Amino acid sequence: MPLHGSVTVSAGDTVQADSVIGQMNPQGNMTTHCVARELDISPFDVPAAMHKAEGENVFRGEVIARARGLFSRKEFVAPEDGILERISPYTGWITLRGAPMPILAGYPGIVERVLADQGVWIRSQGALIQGVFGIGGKVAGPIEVLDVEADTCLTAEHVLPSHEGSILVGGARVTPEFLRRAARIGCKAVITGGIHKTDLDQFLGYCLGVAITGLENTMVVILTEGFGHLPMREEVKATLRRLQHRLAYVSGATQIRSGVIRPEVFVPECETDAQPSSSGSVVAMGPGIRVRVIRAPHFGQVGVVVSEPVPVLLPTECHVLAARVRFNDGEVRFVPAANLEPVGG
Amino acid sequence: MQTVQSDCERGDLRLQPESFLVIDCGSTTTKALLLKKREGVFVVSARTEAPTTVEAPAEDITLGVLSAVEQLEIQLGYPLLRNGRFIHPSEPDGSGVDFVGATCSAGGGLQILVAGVIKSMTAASAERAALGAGAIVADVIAIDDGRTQYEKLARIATIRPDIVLVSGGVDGGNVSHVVKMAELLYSAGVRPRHGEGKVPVIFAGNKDARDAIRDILSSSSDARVVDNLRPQLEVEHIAPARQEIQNAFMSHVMVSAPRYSRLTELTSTPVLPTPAAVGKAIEHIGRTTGKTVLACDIGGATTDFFTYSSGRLYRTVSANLGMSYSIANVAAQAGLAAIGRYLPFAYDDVEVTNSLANKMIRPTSLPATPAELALEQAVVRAALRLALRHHRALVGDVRGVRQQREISQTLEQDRPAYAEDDMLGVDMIIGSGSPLSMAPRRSQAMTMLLDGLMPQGVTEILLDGRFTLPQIGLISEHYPDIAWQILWSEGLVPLGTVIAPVYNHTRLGASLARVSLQLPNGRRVERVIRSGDLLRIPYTSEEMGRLTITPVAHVDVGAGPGKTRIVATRGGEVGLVLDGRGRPLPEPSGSSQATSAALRQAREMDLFPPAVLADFARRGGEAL
Repeated sequence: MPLHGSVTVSAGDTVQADSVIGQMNPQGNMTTHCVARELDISPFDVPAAMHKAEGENVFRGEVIARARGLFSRKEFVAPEDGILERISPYTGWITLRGAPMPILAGYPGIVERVLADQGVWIRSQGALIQGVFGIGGKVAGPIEVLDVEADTCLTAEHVLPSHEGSILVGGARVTPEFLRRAARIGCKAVITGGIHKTDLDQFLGYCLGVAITGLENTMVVILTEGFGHLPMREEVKATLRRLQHRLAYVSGATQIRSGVIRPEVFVPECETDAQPSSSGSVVAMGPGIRVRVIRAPHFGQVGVVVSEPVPVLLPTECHVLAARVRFNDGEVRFVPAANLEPVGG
Repeated sequence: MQTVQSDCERGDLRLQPESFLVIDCGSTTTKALLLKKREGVFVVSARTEAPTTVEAPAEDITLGVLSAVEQLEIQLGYPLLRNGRFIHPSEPDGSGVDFVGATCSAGGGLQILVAGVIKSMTAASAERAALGAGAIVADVIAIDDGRTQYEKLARIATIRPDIVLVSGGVDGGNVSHVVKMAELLYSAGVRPRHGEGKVPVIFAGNKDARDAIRDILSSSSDARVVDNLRPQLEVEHIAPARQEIQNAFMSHVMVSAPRYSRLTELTSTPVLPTPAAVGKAIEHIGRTTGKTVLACDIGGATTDFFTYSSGRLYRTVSANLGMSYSIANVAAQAGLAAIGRYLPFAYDDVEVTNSLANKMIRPTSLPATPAELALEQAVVRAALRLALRHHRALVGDVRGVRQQREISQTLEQDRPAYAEDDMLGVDMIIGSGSPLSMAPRRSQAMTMLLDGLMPQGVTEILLDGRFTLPQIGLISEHYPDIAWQILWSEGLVPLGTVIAPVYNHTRLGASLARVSLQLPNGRRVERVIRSGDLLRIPYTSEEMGRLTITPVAHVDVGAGPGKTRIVATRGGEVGLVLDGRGRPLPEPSGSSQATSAALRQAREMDLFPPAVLADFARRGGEAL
């Protein structure tokens, strides 16, 4: 949960995506009021003047504080429903917090662990695809893999009214017009190979400087390859094609900082031969490892490591550790180990 | 992969160590440095680096440390580890090491939320305290910051700082405003960036509010109280707050970050924040040379600046102006033209922004082509420029404050000797950080510093040649003599001297100054600096030469307009650079003029091999 709240499930409970797992006091929905000034009393007298205690519910129009002066009586009326969060004897202000907001599980599964006041860990089984960058929060919808060539740049014409509510998949790149039309139609998310950074900024309406996202008030967009015109890897597209029309849960949140978060697509309860993934495994860059190049030259190409990384002099005149990689076209080239990313399959 | 433990015990330091293993954990790379005594002096025996592993899936900083140390073992040919433990102290067969230490800026640095009453007064002082402690200021919340209560609460709830610093009110003054700020923090529910414990909240405001602050914040945070950093309106006293920030960082933040506790168990001495370690080295350099020193350390997430002037050290950390995580932010703030002007080839805006964005999302990747290297080095220039502006703005502007001098304080934020764009007062520039220290050619490092910092007058340029300043600063905590020996013999690389006359507008090609360099072997080199010139005179002598600069009437080289200046100067790996381009560097009139100028500069400064330069020139079209 973004803010402290209360968790209403226990470890071992089975939940659906729309199950309420807790409630929290919503972000920003808090107001402060100077009761001391309203009642014309000193701050230290405010607690005694209150008719409600901290933690109690208050209702709009309810008299929650009263002071009797020599010739008059003054009252403070709650301006809205909520919870009386704090009464300050130092400043004479009170804090009212709006009605609690229910928090949904977001994924079906079994509650594995409860983090008191903060959230839960849910164990689930299904297909998980991680992107490299995304925007937007969490949504759910049926997967709709577009019938286009891998190298296609998706434009507004590719969005159909029937795509409403869907998670669109495909293309090596999307245009801002495609994204805008998809959002207008009511698509939940777009998963594609790449996008020009300038186009993403145009869609967002501002220049994104740091890869910390997830709170944008926008349709979810997930890149599987990176920035530019980059066809989605065939095995990723094939996996999503097999999951056509299945309900998927996606999150566009990305954080490239301590505690890295990558965007995700999760389809629960689907048949799979894969072993459960163990988070925390670090893959060494040794022979036989399937890798993707994440930087020019050969950006986006996939190959297999032929030999352990050794010191190599690059055209930049830098000495770096580089591995020999055999690419799908049969060529073997040295690629800096730092520019290789292990990929599954 | 084996885990690592150490037999090191705190306080059990050898009186006369023969070897040091010092590790710097940066936000992008972890650097391991081994220093050994040879013929009575310490030399760099080996240096390696590995990607920092604070992020998923590893989330264990010691994995990157281990990886770097294992590479050291391969280079050295003997073990530093045995059965998962550091061999400490070193053994008769040479294996092991006498001292193991670490500095750290991984995890994106120390992030502080500053909360004050008046934005331009107490909040500004608190921000300076935070920056002076080497922190990144996540936000400054003040009663008068223009945001609504709701916006302040939402912002506080969103940020997950490592530490909160609260200030406000002079001693004996009104308490209500700062108490209200504390109640805001309580209501928002500040949560730590790492772990699930309480956030340290340091109160450095009106002492009359201390009881109320403790009462409000103790239940939900690790509340600490120090002296008011603004005890009177005219007085700023930030040292106690800065020290407590460092204490909180060491005792709370670092142990709650991903597996940092394992790192502290590995080392002979407490882990030091990297900016603090670098600051120690810069302070020593300034104190011993008597010069005004400007130093920069450009990293993956931040760019740190240090100024040593008149016995005082000033330090700022510019968050989100780094070369990996925040590279796209540098481009966003500087603008593409400010970067493109330094590219010696024509480029496509879309491709350049894509390239930088891909670096942002894969921050540990390396430039593998000369064009990509040139692009990153162009961004370095922009980052240095932006961060220097930030540094000057913060250390030079203390509103309504008299100097408070305390003999024990060496880090007071008084006004330095020069104003914001005036670089005539800077005698020495030191560059540090991987993009500079690890640049394949020293001339590239020199030129990045020249273009980014725009020195004026006569300025000596040095480079932290092997990116060892953090490690040397750490060693100086316990073995200062050894540290300074290493600094001057192994750490600092003289690049040369820059002569950049200061003048108002003049026609291109006009004569600015005559330069005469009398070399120790009796040879004399004479040149005229003209407006628009950038000339390099190779001069690598270890001995001091004598430089005589005679400017024309309206031109200043540091002694006043038209006044001759005589300077003793040592050579450097790049040499003597005569920079007549003017300050600030003139804006190119168009992209092709910019490309031509950048190519000319690349040739003159020997930035790339001739074949690469020829390729840049030949393509004419897009090289990126």
